[in-house]
Amino acid sequence: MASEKKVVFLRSSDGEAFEVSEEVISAASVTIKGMIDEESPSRADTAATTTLAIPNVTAATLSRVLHYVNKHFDAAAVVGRPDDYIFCAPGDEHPLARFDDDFVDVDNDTLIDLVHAAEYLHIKKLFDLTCKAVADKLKGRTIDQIRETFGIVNDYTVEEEVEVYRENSWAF
Amino acid sequence: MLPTGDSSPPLPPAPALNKPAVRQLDDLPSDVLNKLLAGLPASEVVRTSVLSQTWRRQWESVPGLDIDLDDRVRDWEWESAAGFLERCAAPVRGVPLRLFDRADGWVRTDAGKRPRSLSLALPVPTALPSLFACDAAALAHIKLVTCVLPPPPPAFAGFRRLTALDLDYVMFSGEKGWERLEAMISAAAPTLQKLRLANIAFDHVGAGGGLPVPGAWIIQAPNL
Repeated sequence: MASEKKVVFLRSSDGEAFEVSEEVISAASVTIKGMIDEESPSRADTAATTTLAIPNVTAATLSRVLHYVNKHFDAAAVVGRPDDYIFCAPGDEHPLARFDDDFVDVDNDTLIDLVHAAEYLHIKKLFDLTCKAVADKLKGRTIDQIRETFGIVNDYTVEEEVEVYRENSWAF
Repeated sequence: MLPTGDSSPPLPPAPALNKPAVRQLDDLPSDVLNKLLAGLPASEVVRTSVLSQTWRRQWESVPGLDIDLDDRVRDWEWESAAGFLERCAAPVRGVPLRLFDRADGWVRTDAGKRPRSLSLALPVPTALPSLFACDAAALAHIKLVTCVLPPPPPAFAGFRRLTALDLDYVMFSGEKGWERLEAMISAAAPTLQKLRLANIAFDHVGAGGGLPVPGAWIIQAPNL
Protein backbone atom coordinates (compact mmCIF):
# COMPACT_ATOMS: atom_id res chain seq x y z
CA MET A 1 0.00 0.00 0.00
CA ALA A 2 2.73 2.41 0.91
CA SER A 3 4.11 2.47 -2.60
CA GLU A 4 5.45 5.96 -2.33
CA LYS A 5 7.84 6.54 0.50
CA LYS A 6 8.17 10.06 1.71
CA VAL A 7 11.65 11.31 2.09
CA VAL A 8 13.16 14.44 3.56
CA PHE A 9 16.53 16.04 2.99
CA LEU A 10 18.73 17.07 5.87
CA ARG A 11 21.24 19.79 5.16
CA SER A 12 24.38 19.66 7.30
CA SER A 13 26.11 22.73 8.71
CA ASP A 14 28.59 22.57 5.84
CA GLY A 15 25.84 22.46 3.25
CA GLU A 16 25.64 18.82 2.24
CA ALA A 17 22.15 17.35 1.84
CA PHE A 18 21.28 13.82 2.87
CA GLU A 19 18.17 11.94 1.89
CA VAL A 20 16.39 9.91 4.52
CA SER A 21 12.99 8.28 4.86
CA GLU A 22 10.67 10.58 6.73
CA GLU A 23 9.22 7.66 8.63
CA VAL A 24 12.60 6.38 9.74
CA ILE A 25 14.03 9.71 10.83
CA SER A 26 10.79 10.63 12.61
CA ALA A 27 10.98 7.43 14.61
CA ALA A 28 14.60 8.13 15.48
CA SER A 29 14.89 11.84 16.14
CA VAL A 30 12.52 13.77 18.33
CA THR A 31 14.03 17.01 17.08
CA ILE A 32 13.52 16.25 13.40
CA LYS A 33 10.06 14.84 13.99
CA GLY A 34 9.22 18.18 15.56
CA MET A 35 10.60 20.03 12.54
CA ILE A 36 8.60 17.84 10.15
CA ASP A 37 5.40 18.28 12.14
CA GLU A 38 5.88 22.02 12.02
CA GLU A 39 6.41 21.95 8.27
CA SER A 40 3.49 19.64 7.55
CA PRO A 41 0.62 22.13 7.06
CA SER A 42 2.54 24.22 4.55
CA ARG A 43 3.72 21.14 2.74
CA ALA A 44 0.44 19.29 2.33
CA ASP A 45 -0.53 21.12 -0.83
CA THR A 46 2.82 20.96 -2.51
CA ALA A 47 4.73 18.12 -4.01
CA ALA A 48 8.11 19.62 -3.16
CA THR A 49 10.30 17.62 -0.87
CA THR A 50 11.31 19.18 2.38
CA THR A 51 14.85 20.15 3.19
CA LEU A 52 15.60 20.68 6.86
CA ALA A 53 18.63 22.61 7.97
CA ILE A 54 20.64 20.88 10.68
CA PRO A 55 22.97 23.74 11.52
CA ASN A 56 24.77 22.08 14.41
CA VAL A 57 25.92 18.91 12.68
CA THR A 58 28.60 18.53 10.03
CA ALA A 59 28.24 16.30 6.98
CA ALA A 60 30.78 13.84 8.34
CA THR A 61 28.84 13.41 11.55
CA LEU A 62 25.41 13.53 9.95
CA SER A 63 26.25 10.72 7.57
CA ARG A 64 27.36 8.60 10.52
CA VAL A 65 24.20 9.43 12.40
CA LEU A 66 22.03 8.47 9.43
CA HIS A 67 23.95 5.23 9.05
CA TYR A 68 23.05 4.44 12.64
CA VAL A 69 19.47 5.59 12.24
CA ASN A 70 18.89 3.48 9.13
CA LYS A 71 20.32 0.47 10.88
CA HIS A 72 18.30 0.90 14.06
CA PHE A 73 15.05 2.51 13.03
CA ASP A 74 14.25 1.26 9.54
CA ALA A 75 11.33 -1.07 10.16
CA ALA A 76 11.61 -2.49 6.61
CA ALA A 77 15.17 -3.51 7.23
CA VAL A 78 14.13 -5.09 10.48
CA VAL A 79 11.20 -7.01 9.01
CA GLY A 80 13.45 -8.10 6.19
CA ARG A 81 15.45 -10.27 8.54
CA PRO A 82 13.15 -11.30 11.30
CA ASP A 83 15.20 -14.31 12.26
CA ASP A 84 18.10 -12.28 13.50
CA TYR A 85 16.20 -9.41 14.98
CA ILE A 86 12.74 -10.00 16.29
CA PHE A 87 13.18 -13.62 17.21
CA CYS A 88 16.45 -13.45 18.99
CA ALA A 89 16.13 -15.42 22.17
CA PRO A 90 16.52 -13.78 25.54
CA GLY A 91 20.15 -13.83 26.52
CA ASP A 92 21.28 -13.72 22.91
CA GLU A 93 23.51 -10.88 22.06
CA HIS A 94 21.45 -8.19 20.42
CA PRO A 95 22.08 -8.55 16.68
CA LEU A 96 23.01 -4.91 16.45
CA ALA A 97 25.41 -5.09 19.39
CA ARG A 98 28.32 -5.76 17.07
CA PHE A 99 27.23 -2.91 14.83
CA ASP A 100 27.01 -0.61 17.85
CA ASP A 101 30.46 -1.62 19.09
CA ASP A 102 31.99 -0.89 15.71
CA PHE A 103 29.98 2.29 15.40
CA VAL A 104 31.53 3.87 18.49
CA ASP A 105 35.00 2.47 17.80
CA VAL A 106 36.14 5.82 16.43
CA ASP A 107 38.54 8.55 17.42
CA ASN A 108 37.60 10.81 20.31
CA ASP A 109 36.73 13.87 18.25
CA THR A 110 34.35 11.86 16.12
CA LEU A 111 32.82 10.28 19.18
CA ILE A 112 32.25 13.60 20.91
CA ASP A 113 30.76 15.01 17.70
CA LEU A 114 28.35 12.08 17.77
CA VAL A 115 27.39 12.81 21.37
CA HIS A 116 26.71 16.43 20.39
CA ALA A 117 24.65 15.36 17.40
CA ALA A 118 22.67 12.71 19.28
CA GLU A 119 21.89 15.23 21.97
CA TYR A 120 20.89 17.95 19.52
CA LEU A 121 18.80 15.61 17.36
CA HIS A 122 17.39 13.94 20.46
CA ILE A 123 18.08 10.35 19.41
CA LYS A 124 18.02 8.68 22.77
CA LYS A 125 19.45 5.29 21.82
CA LEU A 126 22.37 6.89 20.04
CA PHE A 127 22.90 9.35 22.87
CA ASP A 128 23.02 6.55 25.43
CA LEU A 129 25.36 4.52 23.25
CA THR A 130 27.81 7.34 22.64
CA CYS A 131 27.72 8.57 26.23
CA LYS A 132 28.55 5.10 27.43
CA ALA A 133 31.40 4.89 24.95
CA VAL A 134 32.87 8.13 26.27
CA ALA A 135 32.37 6.99 29.87
CA ASP A 136 34.26 3.79 29.02
CA LYS A 137 37.16 5.93 27.85
CA LEU A 138 37.16 7.73 31.18
CA LYS A 139 36.73 4.70 33.38
CA GLY A 140 39.80 3.54 35.26
CA ARG A 141 42.02 6.18 33.66
CA THR A 142 44.41 8.41 35.52
CA ILE A 143 43.93 12.15 35.41
CA ASP A 144 46.90 12.53 33.08
CA GLN A 145 45.51 9.91 30.73
CA ILE A 146 42.14 11.64 30.61
CA ARG A 147 43.77 14.99 29.95
CA GLU A 148 45.78 13.48 27.14
CA THR A 149 42.92 11.49 25.63
CA PHE A 150 40.56 14.43 25.48
CA GLY A 151 42.98 17.31 25.11
CA ILE A 152 42.10 18.90 28.43
CA VAL A 153 44.57 21.58 29.44
CA ASN A 154 45.42 21.82 33.11
CA ASP A 155 44.88 25.51 33.84
CA TYR A 156 45.27 25.30 37.60
CA THR A 157 48.08 27.06 39.37
CA VAL A 158 50.14 24.76 41.55
CA GLU A 159 48.47 26.20 44.65
CA GLU A 160 44.99 25.69 43.23
CA GLU A 161 45.74 22.15 42.20
CA VAL A 162 47.00 21.31 45.68
CA GLU A 163 43.84 22.82 47.12
CA VAL A 164 41.59 20.74 44.85
CA TYR A 165 43.46 17.58 45.78
CA ARG A 166 43.12 18.43 49.45
CA GLU A 167 39.42 19.20 49.10
CA ASN A 168 38.73 15.79 47.60
CA SER A 169 41.55 13.81 49.16
CA TRP A 170 39.37 10.81 49.95
CA ALA A 171 38.82 10.11 46.28
CA PHE A 172 42.51 9.83 45.40
CA MET B 1 68.98 50.34 0.59
CA LEU B 2 65.87 48.80 1.97
CA PRO B 3 62.96 51.05 2.70
CA THR B 4 62.56 51.71 6.37
CA GLY B 5 60.07 53.46 8.59
CA ASP B 6 56.34 53.04 8.37
CA SER B 7 56.24 51.79 4.83
CA SER B 8 56.11 48.10 5.75
CA PRO B 9 52.52 47.07 6.33
CA PRO B 10 51.80 44.90 9.33
CA LEU B 11 51.71 41.25 8.48
CA PRO B 12 48.18 39.95 8.08
CA PRO B 13 47.26 37.43 10.71
CA ALA B 14 48.09 33.92 9.66
CA PRO B 15 45.04 32.55 7.86
CA ALA B 16 43.09 30.19 10.03
CA LEU B 17 43.89 26.73 8.82
CA ASN B 18 40.90 24.96 7.52
CA LYS B 19 40.84 22.42 10.26
CA PRO B 20 37.77 21.66 12.31
CA ALA B 21 37.62 23.08 15.78
CA VAL B 22 39.05 20.61 18.25
CA ARG B 23 36.23 18.94 20.03
CA GLN B 24 36.76 18.59 23.69
CA LEU B 25 34.79 17.01 26.41
CA ASP B 26 34.50 20.50 27.88
CA ASP B 27 32.43 21.58 24.90
CA LEU B 28 29.61 19.29 25.90
CA PRO B 29 26.76 20.85 27.85
CA SER B 30 26.95 20.31 31.57
CA ASP B 31 23.98 17.95 31.68
CA VAL B 32 25.57 15.77 29.01
CA LEU B 33 28.79 15.63 31.01
CA ASN B 34 26.73 14.64 34.00
CA LYS B 35 25.24 11.76 32.08
CA LEU B 36 28.71 10.60 31.04
CA LEU B 37 30.02 10.85 34.56
CA ALA B 38 27.04 9.14 36.14
CA GLY B 39 28.31 5.87 34.70
CA LEU B 40 31.50 6.03 36.73
CA PRO B 41 32.21 5.16 40.37
CA ALA B 42 31.85 8.18 42.66
CA SER B 43 35.53 8.42 43.47
CA GLU B 44 36.44 8.57 39.77
CA VAL B 45 33.81 11.24 39.22
CA VAL B 46 35.23 13.33 42.04
CA ARG B 47 38.76 12.86 40.74
CA THR B 48 37.80 14.71 37.54
CA SER B 49 37.86 17.85 39.69
CA VAL B 50 41.62 18.15 39.17
CA LEU B 51 41.44 18.00 35.36
CA SER B 52 41.02 21.75 34.95
CA GLN B 53 39.11 24.77 36.28
CA THR B 54 36.09 23.83 34.18
CA TRP B 55 35.93 20.47 35.87
CA ARG B 56 36.40 21.60 39.43
CA ARG B 57 32.71 21.69 40.30
CA GLN B 58 31.30 19.54 37.53
CA TRP B 59 30.99 16.44 39.72
CA GLU B 60 28.76 18.27 42.20
CA SER B 61 25.82 18.15 39.82
CA VAL B 62 26.17 14.51 38.75
CA PRO B 63 22.97 12.78 39.80
CA GLY B 64 22.59 9.43 41.47
CA LEU B 65 26.18 8.76 42.42
CA ASP B 66 26.86 5.33 43.78
CA ILE B 67 28.75 6.06 46.90
CA ASP B 68 30.68 3.52 48.80
CA LEU B 69 32.91 5.38 51.16
CA ASP B 70 33.34 2.38 53.36
CA ASP B 71 36.37 0.86 51.79
CA ARG B 72 38.06 4.00 50.71
CA VAL B 73 37.92 6.52 53.43
CA ARG B 74 40.63 6.52 56.05
CA ASP B 75 40.03 8.25 59.34
CA TRP B 76 41.93 11.39 58.49
CA GLU B 77 39.93 11.84 55.30
CA TRP B 78 36.53 12.12 56.85
CA GLU B 79 36.45 15.88 56.58
CA SER B 80 37.07 15.61 52.87
CA ALA B 81 34.50 12.86 52.45
CA ALA B 82 31.95 14.71 54.55
CA GLY B 83 32.45 17.78 52.38
CA PHE B 84 31.84 15.58 49.38
CA LEU B 85 28.55 14.30 50.76
CA GLU B 86 27.40 17.80 51.51
CA ARG B 87 28.22 19.09 48.07
CA CYS B 88 27.20 16.27 45.75
CA ALA B 89 23.94 16.42 43.91
CA ALA B 90 20.78 14.78 45.11
CA PRO B 91 20.00 12.03 45.24
CA VAL B 92 22.84 9.75 46.12
CA ARG B 93 22.01 6.09 45.91
CA GLY B 94 23.43 4.94 49.16
CA VAL B 95 25.93 5.79 51.80
CA PRO B 96 27.32 2.81 53.60
CA LEU B 97 29.47 3.87 56.46
CA ARG B 98 31.23 2.41 59.37
CA LEU B 99 32.38 5.20 61.56
CA PHE B 100 29.79 5.15 64.26
CA ASP B 101 30.37 8.49 65.96
CA ARG B 102 29.70 10.36 62.74
CA ALA B 103 26.91 8.12 61.53
CA ASP B 104 23.93 10.15 62.69
CA GLY B 105 25.29 13.39 61.26
CA TRP B 106 26.02 11.66 57.97
CA VAL B 107 22.59 10.18 57.74
CA ARG B 108 21.17 13.63 58.36
CA THR B 109 23.34 15.06 55.58
CA ASP B 110 22.38 12.24 53.30
CA ALA B 111 18.70 12.59 54.21
CA GLY B 112 18.77 15.95 52.46
CA LYS B 113 19.63 14.13 49.22
CA ARG B 114 16.55 11.93 49.30
CA PRO B 115 18.46 8.66 49.23
CA ARG B 116 16.83 5.57 47.79
CA SER B 117 18.76 3.26 50.00
CA LEU B 118 20.47 3.47 53.29
CA SER B 119 22.83 0.87 54.55
CA LEU B 120 24.74 1.14 57.78
CA ALA B 121 26.74 -1.43 59.62
CA LEU B 122 28.15 0.13 62.75
CA PRO B 123 30.61 -1.39 65.18
CA VAL B 124 28.80 -0.32 68.35
CA PRO B 125 25.13 0.47 68.95
CA THR B 126 24.60 4.01 67.73
CA ALA B 127 21.49 6.14 67.96
CA LEU B 128 20.11 7.23 64.59
CA PRO B 129 17.35 9.77 65.13
CA SER B 130 18.18 11.23 61.73
CA LEU B 131 16.87 8.12 59.98
CA PHE B 132 13.44 9.70 60.24
CA ALA B 133 14.67 12.79 58.39
CA CYS B 134 15.01 10.71 55.22
CA ASP B 135 12.29 11.29 52.68
CA ALA B 136 9.82 8.46 53.13
CA ALA B 137 8.64 8.91 49.56
CA ALA B 138 12.11 8.08 48.23
CA LEU B 139 13.63 5.61 50.63
CA ALA B 140 13.16 2.07 49.36
CA HIS B 141 15.88 0.08 51.08
CA ILE B 142 16.96 0.18 54.68
CA LYS B 143 19.66 -2.04 56.04
CA LEU B 144 20.81 -1.35 59.55
CA VAL B 145 23.22 -3.34 61.63
CA THR B 146 23.91 -2.40 65.23
CA CYS B 147 21.82 0.72 65.46
CA VAL B 148 19.51 2.26 68.01
CA LEU B 149 16.25 3.75 66.82
CA PRO B 150 14.67 6.27 69.17
CA PRO B 151 11.01 7.20 68.78
CA PRO B 152 10.36 9.10 65.53
CA PRO B 153 9.07 12.67 65.60
CA PRO B 154 5.29 12.85 66.08
CA ALA B 155 4.68 13.91 62.49
CA PHE B 156 6.55 10.95 61.02
CA ALA B 157 4.10 8.83 59.02
CA GLY B 158 6.29 5.82 58.34
CA PHE B 159 8.44 4.69 55.43
CA ARG B 160 5.67 3.84 53.01
CA ARG B 161 7.79 3.04 49.98
CA LEU B 162 10.12 0.47 51.46
CA THR B 163 10.73 -2.61 49.38
CA ALA B 164 13.48 -4.03 51.57
CA LEU B 165 13.94 -3.77 55.30
CA ASP B 166 16.78 -5.54 57.00
CA LEU B 167 17.39 -4.93 60.68
CA ASP B 168 20.05 -6.79 62.59
CA TYR B 169 21.04 -5.95 66.16
CA VAL B 170 18.68 -3.00 66.14
CA MET B 171 17.37 -1.66 69.38
CA PHE B 172 14.14 0.29 69.55
CA SER B 173 14.86 2.63 72.42
CA GLY B 174 12.28 4.49 74.44
CA GLU B 175 8.67 3.66 75.02
CA LYS B 176 6.54 1.32 72.97
CA GLY B 177 9.45 -0.02 70.97
CA TRP B 178 7.52 -3.08 69.92
CA GLU B 179 4.60 -1.06 68.63
CA ARG B 180 6.97 1.14 66.67
CA LEU B 181 8.55 -1.84 64.98
CA GLU B 182 5.09 -3.10 64.13
CA ALA B 183 4.11 0.35 62.81
CA MET B 184 7.27 0.53 60.73
CA ILE B 185 6.49 -2.75 59.05
CA SER B 186 2.80 -2.17 58.56
CA ALA B 187 3.47 1.26 57.00
CA ALA B 188 5.72 -0.43 54.46
CA ALA B 189 3.65 -3.60 54.10
CA PRO B 190 2.01 -2.81 50.73
CA THR B 191 5.37 -2.37 48.99
CA LEU B 192 7.61 -4.58 51.06
CA GLN B 193 9.30 -7.43 49.17
CA LYS B 194 12.09 -8.35 51.51
CA LEU B 195 12.07 -8.36 55.27
CA ARG B 196 14.68 -9.62 57.65
CA LEU B 197 14.63 -9.03 61.37
CA ALA B 198 17.30 -10.42 63.61
CA ASN B 199 18.42 -9.67 67.12
CA ILE B 200 15.88 -6.91 67.64
CA ALA B 201 15.89 -5.47 71.12
CA PHE B 202 13.80 -3.13 73.22
CA ASP B 203 15.15 -1.24 76.18
CA HIS B 204 11.90 -0.06 77.63
CA VAL B 205 9.49 -2.54 79.06
CA GLY B 206 6.19 -1.01 80.10
CA ALA B 207 4.76 -1.12 83.59
CA GLY B 208 2.77 -4.18 82.62
CA GLY B 209 6.06 -5.95 82.06
CA GLY B 210 7.00 -8.39 79.37
CA LEU B 211 6.86 -8.20 75.60
CA PRO B 212 3.99 -9.28 73.42
CA VAL B 213 4.41 -12.76 72.06
CA PRO B 214 5.93 -12.53 68.59
CA GLY B 215 4.21 -15.73 67.51
CA ALA B 216 0.89 -13.93 67.44
CA TRP B 217 2.08 -11.36 64.97
CA ILE B 218 0.70 -11.40 61.45
CA ILE B 219 2.46 -9.37 58.79
CA GLN B 220 0.18 -8.60 55.87
CA ALA B 221 2.51 -7.73 53.04
CA PRO B 222 1.24 -9.03 49.69
CA ASN B 223 4.56 -8.69 47.88
CA LEU B 224 6.73 -10.24 50.51
